[in-house]
Amino acid sequence: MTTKQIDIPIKIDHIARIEGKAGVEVIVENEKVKEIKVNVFEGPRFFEAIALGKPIDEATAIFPRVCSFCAAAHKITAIQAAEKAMQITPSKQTKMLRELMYLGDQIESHTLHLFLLALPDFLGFPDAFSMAKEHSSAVKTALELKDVGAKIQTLLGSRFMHQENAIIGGFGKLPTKNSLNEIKLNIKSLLKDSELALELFLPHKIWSEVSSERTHLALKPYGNSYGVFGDDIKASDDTIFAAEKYRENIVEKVVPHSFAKHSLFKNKPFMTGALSRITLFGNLLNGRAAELASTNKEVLDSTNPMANNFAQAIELVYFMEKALLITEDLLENLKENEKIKKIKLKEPGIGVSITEAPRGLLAYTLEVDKNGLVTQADIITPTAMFLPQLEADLKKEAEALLQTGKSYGNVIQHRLQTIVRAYDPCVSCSVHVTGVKK
Amino acid sequence: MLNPNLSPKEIKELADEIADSYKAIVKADTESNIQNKAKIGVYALTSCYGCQLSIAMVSKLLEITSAVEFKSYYMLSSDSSMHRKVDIAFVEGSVSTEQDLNELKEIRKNSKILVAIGACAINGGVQSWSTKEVEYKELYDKVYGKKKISYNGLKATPIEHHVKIDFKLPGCPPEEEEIIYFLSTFIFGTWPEEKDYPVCQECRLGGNPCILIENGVPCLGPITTAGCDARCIKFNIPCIGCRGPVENETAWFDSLAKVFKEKGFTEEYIRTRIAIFGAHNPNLEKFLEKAFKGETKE
Repeated sequence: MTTKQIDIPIKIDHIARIEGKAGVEVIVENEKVKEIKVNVFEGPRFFEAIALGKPIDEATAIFPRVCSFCAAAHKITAIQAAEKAMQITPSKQTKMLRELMYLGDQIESHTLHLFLLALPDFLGFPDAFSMAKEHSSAVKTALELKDVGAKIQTLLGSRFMHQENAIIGGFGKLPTKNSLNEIKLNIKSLLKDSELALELFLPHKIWSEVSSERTHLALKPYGNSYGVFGDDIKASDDTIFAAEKYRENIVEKVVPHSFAKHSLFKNKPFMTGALSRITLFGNLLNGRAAELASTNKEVLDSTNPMANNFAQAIELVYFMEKALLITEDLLENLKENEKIKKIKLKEPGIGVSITEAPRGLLAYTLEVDKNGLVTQADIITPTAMFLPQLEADLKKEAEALLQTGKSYGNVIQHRLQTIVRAYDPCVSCSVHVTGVKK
Repeated sequence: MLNPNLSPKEIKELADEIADSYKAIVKADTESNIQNKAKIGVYALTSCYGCQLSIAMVSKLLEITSAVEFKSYYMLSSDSSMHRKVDIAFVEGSVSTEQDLNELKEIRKNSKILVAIGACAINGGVQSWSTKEVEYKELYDKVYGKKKISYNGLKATPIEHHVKIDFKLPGCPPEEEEIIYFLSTFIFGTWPEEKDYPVCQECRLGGNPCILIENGVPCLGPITTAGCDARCIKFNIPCIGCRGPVENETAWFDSLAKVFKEKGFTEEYIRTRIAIFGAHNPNLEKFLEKAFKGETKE
């Protein structure tokens, strides 16, 4: 068998403008793409293993360190799992404040991804610094939008990442109405600007050659309101299963080219993230985001990973509006002296929580003994879930490009990386996934 | 199955598109030829990318770029390489793989000043929490089972164990003011002063009630490097030591560290808590000895 020598460096050692360290390797044989590997060489950090035997409050303090971009998502999901394990029911107000903090994370993360990581691909710049010279107002708006997301998290979490103020049972300190009012005004002043990401992406069409049917998974949101919390997972094949049963439905395997494990649903790759949420629950959007989603249906193509950029752009508008509504509600109803729910250790317990992180489903299982020490921890992150689907999409794109016979090396690299970035992968998140047994 | 079997028309369209984007890339590559600015490199080993994100989140980042040039910043720029010469390298993350180690050596070779930024680079990070009890292989087997992965993982260590570092910019994540302070001193040709006093000092100056004494919560303020302006204590949250242990000589022993024992915390509990961000601290046992076995007034 002859392996055709192609005139291109077909290995991307280190994909820039993503969170974490990964590369792409394309193995070509007889002009066909034999295999695509997303090489994840970010070092493992063993979060589930190091938490074993540690006090649950300290373990939940370190879990946000899995990833800076989605620290609030990790913090809140871990806290919810810990509370279930210890039979603590958070107050309605605590849940609202957590949702607001979570939305702050979504706003910050989507803004950073859309404007600073993804957009330079389409406008032809290596980064936002050089892009700012020709598109200064876009970059300025991006910085303001990520700042409002960060401010929400700082107010509620003590800072915009590794939010120590959010703890089991509630918050160390509650926000004042004055500070909530500042957030309200800040969000209001940027509502119109939050549509800019969509405007900037719309002239750039999605690449049709990378389309293929795929399964989407997303959390069925509470109360028929598009959002990040819920108890059941829905698949695009209409399967619904309880979040608690995720380990029976989402199966992980170890692959040699990655410190991140790969996840499969019904033995097949699947997608999770903004596009999956909009595909499955877009009918629950409301306000301006719903209008934008219905007038831009063609870019929300559920078969195309590049549509994820557009889905995030619409979510950005939605999350801003929803954050405003929650802030206004809190301004009216905040009980500034509400007490935190204290941990009362009774018996061993296990708790599962799944939420919709910026990049998709984030699952935590935590088990504690009667002394409040962690006896089991399991985390599955969205990036670990969608890696097999990402590899399938990259294979499709590489095959299409080879068929053109115009395979400039740096164009292949550029296009493959653009698809990787559309998924908004979070590699730091992905490299510690496991099912640790006692 | 995955072969898309494009029609000739689709192939032509795609080919045209490729030619266009090729031009765009060549244009982008020839951009950014700036001179006489401090050349900065921002790099990550194994970490959460939070230090890089903190630098990216610094307000007035765009104004700062008029004074410095980012020669390499993988998280933000595809125009990055660790083989470029830089004046100042900011390195976040612990050494957790052989590739981390090779990259770190390359970065050291190419930088005049190397700043270890954040808890992972300085102290090995939270991934070092269990270095004392569990070995790497055991962790690996727990997480990945017996399946082999092509890369070689290492037990997480601070970068100072492998190369010379010039400055430490602590925090998990680092504080915005301190990032600006470090950058400013370099731009003006001086050096940053590292803080060598504990969080308690800033906390007292800030007029906060002492939550260790008054509430009996395990606040690590007495033995943790200052610089956060007692951020967590202001939120009634006890310090977990994210800025790393302060030198034993300057820790607030006599007034506060002995309170741990008085409040009923066991030595083992405090050891585990300090180890979250200070597992590699060579003075950890000496500290515990002094705080728990030293003279106490009965």
